[in-house]
Formats: sequence, C-alpha cells, structure tokens
Amino acid sequence: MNKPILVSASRVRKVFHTGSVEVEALRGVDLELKEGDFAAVVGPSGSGKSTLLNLIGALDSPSSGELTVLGRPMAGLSKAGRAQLRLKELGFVFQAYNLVPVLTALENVEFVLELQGRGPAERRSMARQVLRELGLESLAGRRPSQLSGGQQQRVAVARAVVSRPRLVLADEPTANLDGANAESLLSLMRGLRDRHGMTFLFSTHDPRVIRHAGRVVTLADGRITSDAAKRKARSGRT
Amino acid sequence: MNFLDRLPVTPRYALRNLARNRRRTLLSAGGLALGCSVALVAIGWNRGKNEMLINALAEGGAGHLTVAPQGWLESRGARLRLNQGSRVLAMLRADPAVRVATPENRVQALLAMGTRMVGVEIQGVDPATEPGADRLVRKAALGRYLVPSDRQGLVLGRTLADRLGVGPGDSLVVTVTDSTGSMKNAMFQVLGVVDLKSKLDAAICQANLKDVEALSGLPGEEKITVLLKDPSRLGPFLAGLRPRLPRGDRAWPWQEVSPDIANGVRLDTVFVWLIDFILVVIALLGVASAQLTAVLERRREFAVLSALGMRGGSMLKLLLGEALALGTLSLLVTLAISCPALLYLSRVGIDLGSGMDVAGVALVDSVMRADFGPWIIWESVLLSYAATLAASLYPAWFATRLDPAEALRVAQ
Ligand SMILES: Nc1ncnc2c1ncn2[C@@H]1O[C@H](COP(=O)(O)OP(=O)(O)OP(=O)(O)O)[C@@H](O)[C@H]1O
Ligand SMILES: [Mg+2]
Repeated sequence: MNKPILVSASRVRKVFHTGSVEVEALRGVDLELKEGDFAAVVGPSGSGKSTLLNLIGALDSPSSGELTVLGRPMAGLSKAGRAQLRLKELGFVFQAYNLVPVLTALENVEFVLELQGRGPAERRSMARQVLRELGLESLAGRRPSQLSGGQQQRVAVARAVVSRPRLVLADEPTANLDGANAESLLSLMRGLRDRHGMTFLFSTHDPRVIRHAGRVVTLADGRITSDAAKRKARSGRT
Repeated sequence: MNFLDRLPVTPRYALRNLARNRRRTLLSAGGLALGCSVALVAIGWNRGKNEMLINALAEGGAGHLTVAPQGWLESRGARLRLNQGSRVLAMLRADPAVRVATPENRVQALLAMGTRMVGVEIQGVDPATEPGADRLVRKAALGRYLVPSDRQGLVLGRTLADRLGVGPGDSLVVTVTDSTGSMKNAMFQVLGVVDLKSKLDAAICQANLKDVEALSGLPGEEKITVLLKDPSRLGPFLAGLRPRLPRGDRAWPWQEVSPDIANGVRLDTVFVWLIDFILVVIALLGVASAQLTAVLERRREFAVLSALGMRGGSMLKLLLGEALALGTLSLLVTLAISCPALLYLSRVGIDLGSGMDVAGVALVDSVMRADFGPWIIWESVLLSYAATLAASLYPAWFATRLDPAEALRVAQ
C-alpha cells in the first residue's frame, strides 16, 4: 500500500542564536510521515522534540535542509502563509493552557472555525458534532476552569480536529495528566486516526503513552537515533 | 439562547475579557471617565463663558454686525457717513431675520457745568430703537432714557455725571468743533443717569441722532448696529446682505468689529482644548499601561491562538473590541459624572459679583453659567472612544507581534 507522504524532512537543521551563543537544536533530521501515521517523538529533555514539532507545524522555519509539509516547501512560505497553513490544514494540541479561559468548551471549538471564516450555522453544528463524537457533549457549556485537566485536553483535541485537518501535532499532550487520563486521551486520538485516517505526530516522555504509538521516532541531541514501526500499529509502514 | 449566544465568538470573548479582572477594568474606565469629565466640564464652562461674553458684547451696543461706510473698520472715523443710511436702515428693519437695527453717529464735545469740564464723545442714537439694541442704557438709574421727541437731551453714565456734578433736570453747555472748523455752543439738559457700576459709566453719553447731526454739521448716520433674531445665522445673513448694500457701504460681523474679543474667545477655546488634550492623554497613558499589563498576562493565550493560525487582523479586531467595550463603560461613567455637574453649572452657575466685566465687556447678568446641550453626548463619545482606542493601539500591536513559537516556549 502506498500512502501519500504528508511530511518530508531532509537534512533539516535548526540553530538558535541567543546573544553570542549558538544552540544547534536539530542537526540534520531526515523524516517522512505518511497519511495515517500515529507517531510518537521521544527522547530526553533538550533533544529537540519541540523544535521538530514546531518546524513541522509551521510555527518556525528551519535554518537549513528541506522540509515539505502537506506538499508545501516550508522554505518559501511567508509568515502569513505559515499562519494560513496552521489555521486551515493543521491541528494543534499543546501541553497545557490550551483553551481560552473566558470561553466555554463549545465556544473554544467554535472560535477556530470563526477564525477560518466559516458561517455561524456551520460552525455551531460542526462544533457540536465533534464534541458529541468525542463524548464531550455534556461539557459544552463549561469554561476551562470548570473542567478537569483530562477534560480540558480532550476539548483541545476536539478543537484541533474539528475541521478535519490531515495532520495533527501534539507537543507533550499528556505531560500534565495522570496515567488513566493520559491513556484515555491517547485512545481518543487513536480512534480519530482510525475512523478518519488523520495523521498524528506527538511528543512524549511517558512510556504508557509510547505503548499506544504506531511508530516511535527517537531523538537524541538533535538527531534521529531510531525510527521504528511497531507491530501493533495498523498503519502500513514499509 | 440569550443575547450573547447570538453574537459571533469574538465579541463575546472581548466582552468577557473585561469581566476577567473587574477591578482593573473599573479603575481604567473610572480613571479615564474622570479625565474626560473634567475635560467636558472645562469645555462646557468655556462655551458658557464665550456665549455670555458674545451676548454681553452684542447686546451691550455692539450688535452682531455693523453696517458702515467703506474704510470705517480701519479708521473708525467719527466723520464718516453711510452713503444711503436711511435706505439701508429701512431695508434692515424690514428684514424678518433682524431683531433690531439702530443707527449711530458721534461727535467729540466738551461738557461744562459751572467750572467743571469733561471731554466726551457724544453718541447720537435713535431713541426709539437704541434701548432694544443696548441693554446697558435700558437701566437708567436716575431720571429716564431718551424718547424720540426729546431735543437737546442727554443720558450720562454715573461717573460722568458725578464728575460734572449733575443729575436729571440739570442743564449743561456742550461745545464742539463742527465740520467747518468753527466752534459751536449749545445747551443740553440731563434726562437720565445710567449706573452700571463698571468703567463704562465714564464713557456713556447719548443724545438724539438729530442733535448730533446739528452739532457736527454732518448729516446722516455713521453706522448701523444690527442684532439678529438667531445669532447662529450670522454668516448666511451677511452673505445675503452684502450684495444688497449700496456702493461704498459695507457690513462686518462682530468678530471683525471687535477682533480683541473674537481673538480672546478663540484663544480661550484653543487653550481649553489643549489642557483637555493633555488631561485625556494622561488618563489614556494609565489605560494603555493597564491594557499592556493585561496583554502581557495573556501572552500564553495569544501564543496558543497565534499558533492555531489566528492572524494579526483577527487579534487586532479582538483587542479593539475590548477597547470599544471599555470605551462604552468609560462613556457611561463620563456621562454620569459630567451631565449632573454641567447641569448644575448651567442652572445655578457661579455669581461673579456685580459690575463684573470680562475682557472689557460689561456683563449685565453677573452669574456665569456653563453650557449644557447635546454637544456633551458627541464630545463624550468622541473623547471616550478616541482615548480607549488610542490606549489600546500599542498593546494590540504588541500582541500581534508576538512570535508564537517563542511565546509558547517562554510561557510554558
Ligand atoms: N527559542 C530558542 N532559543 C534558544 N534555544 C532554544 C530555543 N528553543 C529551543 N532551544 C534549545 O534547543 C534545544 C532543544 O530544545 P527543545 O525544546 O526542542 O527540546 P525538547 O526535546 O522539546 O525538550 P523537553 O523535553 O524539555 O521539552 C534545547 O537545548 C533548547 O534549550
Ligand atoms: Mg519540548
């Protein structure tokens, strides 16, 4: 089976300059993500996981190397072009404080649809539907402060997938969750990937989370040291 | 579904952000409202003062406009005469926009009573219309004002009468040099004394226009003073009048006839606006600093939103929406403070005491009042919204410039 390639990175480097100090966060990364991948990026703190996700998520641009995301070469993309790509074609889940505190769960989901320029009726029904699908209907009217950490992350996932992006990026989405909540968030994401064929790339430290991944990319000191498809994974890795 | 639910998410978001830190919102709105209110009271007071000054000037004999021969504005020569004074006077009196039009001429004279002598300028007036144009002389404190049938009668200011030691009923000798250069004497009788308790009392000396014509040997009117029914129509009225005037006769608005007063009014207005501007800017800087703090506190939130693809334009819309809501709150507080204050100052006013004159214009009514009118609404809307929008520009610009990756990392 030849699935389309969503992300392709070749000799990607990222150097940060802080004053006179240079930090080479990524030292030549080669990576391909195919549609339907459910991949974890693991590695010690400072190994470059967030940096990699930020580059793929068009939040930042590489210092050198070639990176193509959803068919677009990142090198030629303007700031506005990157924002447009994030808004329309990518989904994001962050580690914590994902949600706007003064908006309810439903409004948080609706807000991205509003930013995408969708009409009121459409965004209301799309937001309701994704909450229903993820079993969060009963939380629709609550503000983040009235939700548990696990519930907040699930609403964040709902917001990330509401417009069915092909690629969802999550930087340590379970870092602030206990074991049960972490596993339940992972199976939620896994279900979305299975039902809709969405591609997920997430970073984690947590071995229980790694177990759910269909593919594990290990980073150390800015380089990929191993990239293994797991037997359990249903995605057709070649 | 309540009203808020029907709005798009952005305005709901903006409105709730104000409720997020109620104390800060109330302090910002309150501080700004206080600044705007003081500014509005200053504007209202200045408007009231100017209106009073202009009224006092116009009704103190200067009128809203003056018709006089060409060259009069520059020389103010007492020997100038209108080319067709009586025709112009009749035309003005027939105009429905005119409240009163009254002629005047002047002659320099020496008044003598026994051994006392005073040099004055006798104003020749039409006794029938003069009191309607000059409310100062209406109040003759002793005796009476001139009537059209009076010949060789005088109305004097109190100071003048005291210097000559005369009162109503007394006769005195008037000496003039006429147009041919020869001296002339005539007996006049004092009919009334006007007491304004102001320095104008030393200058008031009025007689029948006909008597002044005879004394000076120059028949006719030097100028015609006109009061309009609606002073705000002065510009259009002048524009309509000028083409109808005979050759050689001209009309000027009070601003050109009394440039000192007009400049004083303009200067005061500029000064009040300048002070108000500084005041509002100070209040605005306070709001800007509070707004910037609010944006800094929400760095993480803006970073997440910008990572989700929210563009600068949408962020600006959100923050300007917050500014608009804050402006509305501040507007309500401003109206709540400034309306009662201005209403009080416009009804009750402040008594300046009798004999007061402002910029050399005698005020008949010594109580000064602020102006109260619909302008308060426009100007509070203008001040409140302009100030909150201006205060939000820098914080909004700052928020749109946040780099999402950097802000996420720092705020993690
Ligand atoms: N904006 C930046 N400026 C300077 N240095 C940076 C910046 N972002 C990352 N780094 C550096 O790059 C390296 C990789 O950082 P990164 O955040 O990608 O690691 P990570 O694997 O996500 O770590 P963690 O598990 O702690 O989140 C680190 O040495 C970090 O200090
Ligand atoms: Mg990280």
